[in-house]
Amino acid sequence: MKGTIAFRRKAADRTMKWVFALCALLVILPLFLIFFDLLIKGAKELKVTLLIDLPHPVGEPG
Amino acid sequence: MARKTGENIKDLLFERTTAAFAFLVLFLAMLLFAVLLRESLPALRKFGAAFLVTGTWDPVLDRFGALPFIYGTLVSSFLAVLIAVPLSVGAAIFIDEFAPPWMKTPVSFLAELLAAIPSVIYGLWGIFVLVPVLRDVFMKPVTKYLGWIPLFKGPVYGPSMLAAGVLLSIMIVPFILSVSREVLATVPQRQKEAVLSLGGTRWEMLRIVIGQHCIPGIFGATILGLGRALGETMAVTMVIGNRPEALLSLFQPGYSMAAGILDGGSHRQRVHRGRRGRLSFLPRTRRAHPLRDDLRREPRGQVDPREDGRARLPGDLT
Repeated sequence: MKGTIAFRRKAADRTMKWVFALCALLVILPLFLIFFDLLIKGAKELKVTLLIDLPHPVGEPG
Repeated sequence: MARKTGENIKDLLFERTTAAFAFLVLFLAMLLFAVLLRESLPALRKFGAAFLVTGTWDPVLDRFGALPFIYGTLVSSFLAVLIAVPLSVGAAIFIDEFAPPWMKTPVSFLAELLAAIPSVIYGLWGIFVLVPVLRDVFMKPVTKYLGWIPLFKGPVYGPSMLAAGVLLSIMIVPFILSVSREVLATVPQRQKEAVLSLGGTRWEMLRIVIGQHCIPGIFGATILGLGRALGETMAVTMVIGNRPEALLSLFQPGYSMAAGILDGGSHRQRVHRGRRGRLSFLPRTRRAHPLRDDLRREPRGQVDPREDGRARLPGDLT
């Protein structure tokens, strides 16, 4: 049986390749999660008034 | 070959100067240690070695032990390393060995960009995204079915040792990754090619090469990541839950030493009241406090005559 051992070795190789690829994906995923979360939550507050208005005093609705 | 005298003196001067700078570093380290020891003497004198192994943090009864903080620091950091090392080494291998050429630079650039995010941003993201997601998607189901295992015991709050560990692991990934890539790059190309030319697959080549060459280097990368995880303050404080208890369950809130230093808050004030400002657990704040001298004069637990029978806390400016 020439096939089985060679197949097993190749399968292991291919599996590990995908495992490493998954590692790389998991490593860079948080960057995008953080970035887009900040962007989505921050974008709607980004108005001109944010830059030119003075901060409201404490206790006054902002 | 005899050197000229002038050159000799220059050499000697240079040698001594560099030696002096080298010893300066050692001296600074020792000085740091000495100052830390001196400032912590009141605590050590009061509680003795038990300070390190006692789990109580009771400002009312004036009993303090540092165990929850030490435990929290160690557990959250080890958890982070446990998650981050396999991921980063795997990613490093992917980038160096398997990724198509056009993918290498962007992936490693993005992974290293993680190091550029300020820790307070990590903390904020941890509070608003990571903690709720972990709580609902992971902790709640796990504690429901595996709650009998002490590590996963409920109740689930959200901020927890696990959240701190996961967040820390994201933060230390870029460091471990880049050191691991350096380590992988030191493997002689010929040896890799030798394995491949004998008919080995890439995975077999990696197993042989990593086993022989890279384990010490990867260990070094791990220590670097661990060092960063141990000292991380802001992000940990924001997600670890800040409860001074050493609990086995990863789903329970904890505390870390750095977090304790950062937001001693109410504990700190009461510590000072209890010890008349002499317990220098956190010396900087104490010295900066406007009521410091008052505190020194005021006997412990004495009721402020100006107030209506209410014991005055150092933080009360009114």
